Amino acid sequence: MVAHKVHETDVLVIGGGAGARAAIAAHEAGARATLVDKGVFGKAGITQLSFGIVCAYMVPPDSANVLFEDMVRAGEFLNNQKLVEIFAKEIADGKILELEGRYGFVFDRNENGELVRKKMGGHSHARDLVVTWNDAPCIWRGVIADLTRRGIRVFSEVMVTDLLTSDGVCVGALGLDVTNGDFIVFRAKSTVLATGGLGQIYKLTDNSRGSTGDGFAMAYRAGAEMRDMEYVQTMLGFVWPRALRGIGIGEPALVGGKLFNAKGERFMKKIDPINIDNVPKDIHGRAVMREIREGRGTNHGGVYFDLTRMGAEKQPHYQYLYPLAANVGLDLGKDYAETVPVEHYFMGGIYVNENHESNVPGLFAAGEVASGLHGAERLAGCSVADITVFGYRAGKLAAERAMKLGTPKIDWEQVDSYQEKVANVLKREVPGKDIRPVAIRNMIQGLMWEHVYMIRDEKGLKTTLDELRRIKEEYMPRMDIASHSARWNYDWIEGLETINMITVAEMVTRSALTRTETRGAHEREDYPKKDNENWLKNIVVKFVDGEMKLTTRPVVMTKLKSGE
Amino acid sequence: MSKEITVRVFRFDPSTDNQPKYRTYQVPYEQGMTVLETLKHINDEIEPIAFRYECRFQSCGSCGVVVNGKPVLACKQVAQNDMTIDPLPIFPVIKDLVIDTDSYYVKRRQLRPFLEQTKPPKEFPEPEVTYEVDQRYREYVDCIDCLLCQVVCPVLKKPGTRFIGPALMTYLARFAVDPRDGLDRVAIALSEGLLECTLCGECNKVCPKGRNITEVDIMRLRRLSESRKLI
Repeated sequence: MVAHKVHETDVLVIGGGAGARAAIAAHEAGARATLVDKGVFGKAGITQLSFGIVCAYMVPPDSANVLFEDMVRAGEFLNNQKLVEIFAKEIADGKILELEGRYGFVFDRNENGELVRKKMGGHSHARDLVVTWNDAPCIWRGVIADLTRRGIRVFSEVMVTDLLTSDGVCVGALGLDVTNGDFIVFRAKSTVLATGGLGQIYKLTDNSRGSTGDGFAMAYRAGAEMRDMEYVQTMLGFVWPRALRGIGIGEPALVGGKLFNAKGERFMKKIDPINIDNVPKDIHGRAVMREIREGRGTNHGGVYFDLTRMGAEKQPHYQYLYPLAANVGLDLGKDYAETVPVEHYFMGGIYVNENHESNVPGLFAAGEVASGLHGAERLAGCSVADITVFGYRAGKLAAERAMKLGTPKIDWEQVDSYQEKVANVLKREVPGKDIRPVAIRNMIQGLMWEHVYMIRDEKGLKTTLDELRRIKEEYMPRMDIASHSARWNYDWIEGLETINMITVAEMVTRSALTRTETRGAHEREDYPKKDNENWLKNIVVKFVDGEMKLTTRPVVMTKLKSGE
Repeated sequence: MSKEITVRVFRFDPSTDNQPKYRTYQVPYEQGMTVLETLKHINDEIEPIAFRYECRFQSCGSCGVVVNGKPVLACKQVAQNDMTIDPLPIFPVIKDLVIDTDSYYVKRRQLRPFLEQTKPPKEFPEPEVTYEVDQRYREYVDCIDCLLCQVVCPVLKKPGTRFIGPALMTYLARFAVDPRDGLDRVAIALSEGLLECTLCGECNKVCPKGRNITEVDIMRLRRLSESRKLI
């Protein structure tokens, strides 16, 4: 048995984005809340990096119904409409706007003191608010400060490696303290997973380093149902210079930039001669990928993005990008950027009901790690809004459940076996261990980028499954952590992340192989049409008897049926 | 032919090493490469080193290090030949370039670094929040708690000082000018050594966001103290 500390609480929250709101809600409901973050709380995670557009303010004739319909149409009818209804109502009720004073940030005002509202793609009305485009963590800094005010216990730089279950009920989690390698058993009545996305399974992503899909993988191992795992959202980002690789640029439609291939052709004219670059991101994104695949990409593997004439002064976001590029020798006022769609957001994840609880009792999920709200495509501004509204609801409902329960029973044998698994990854001087986690990651990232990204077909997906199996069987047992010390050993953390990455990569690939149609962000080159007859349903991934099983479920529809 | 640069990195694991040491690495250089890219190359291709980073674009403030004696953000500073990389001073070393910044956050917590709305608002959006309030707020949103200003401040190193440092004064100034805040931030700033700042401007020189900390934070708090006849 490996030594560990024990931390007992009512509501355990894992993750600092939606999780921060969940912890606040649980505390407000009178429960003891504990938050665990893999990175430095308040700095790590994708929430702290978002551009700060938030769908938050509706002025008539805009209403909850209009937002509901916008979201379901964008999501191509795969959304869980019960969740969308709750979400749209909360936004319409101004639940986000009232946080301005509570958390002490300021949404942009015009000179008359009115809120600046933006109409983003896919939205019928201008309902997105911004906090100075250049620095969006502002909202979340206020949220985080509220945890400080409340004195909520936060474990920073503690990686949760596994969820603990007892008789099929989630009773907490096992954590590994990055700073010193100590184990911490979190014993909790309710657990809220808010670990974000999986951008790191792709070669290029604008996500932060920690987006390795840990939450999906640990929930899956604990028996949670995953849905819509084939749905990956992208955004144009830099492919070069190296220091900017993966950093998001934005849509030509939004900023008035132009796309060119390496031959200097405006290739978007072939696809849409009227709107040219001014098309939804799926369309220009795939066109970019095709140009590159057909040999008309730049030497660095992108296409040109001409931002020289769009007037940086009119685009606060670009006031931020210009110096960033200039700093590494790229003058966006004169030079073309080189761009490629980078992984931006993941629509799929843990299935939750309208109480944000998964099929594993005691396990709640909110934010990017949960599925259902966005369906096959997410609208701009609905992610920060999602974590704000649903993070809070999940925390509140988790607390209400916890208050009715006594201290949960822990299966100490399970704790032992999980600790052993984690410790074994670090174990040295094992014959045949010779590949560092970073090398295995590179293999996964390359495969997913090549075959399971924006343009998919059966051949590529099957190749990927074969290769993933080979990596699992041949390379994973050889994974070697290149440092002996348990103290702040990120190689060890990356090793544990790699185990999660290979699991989620397989879930994404198998779901993509199963959906033999093209819908929303999922495009099958061999099935280019939408097939409402067969595929108006969610694909479910579940761990059953030691195996990954895929099934389908009917979509939860309330007000809006497909075709209406 | 690719160029190589020579990089010396501070290495120390207090749980096993008797002394800190420097290790020298040869790293292939490409134009526009940052210190962060250099560290990632060493970590991924040569041997693991401990360093923090998150966002890669000067937004999270996690990757502060000292390069050739100057505190910088690793993701902003462009790499050069013959560079020596050290952890930020003042704070205890956890391992290599990773430092323990708890003392800063403990102090920050004591200052109540959040808006204290003593009177709950009656309507939304709040009429108090005008264009001017928005403009003033924006002077503060750039601070990312990277602590570069804290580690260069000469007053913070003086024995017996009460001064809490530029980054924490920024918090007090930010709430002092917010009409919604109900605490006396100016009085707190005075008790936390506001007058000990010598306005030497070392903090401004290292701020990766180019903030004028002495003017926007320190002098604004001092002018508020004067107008209220607190000093």
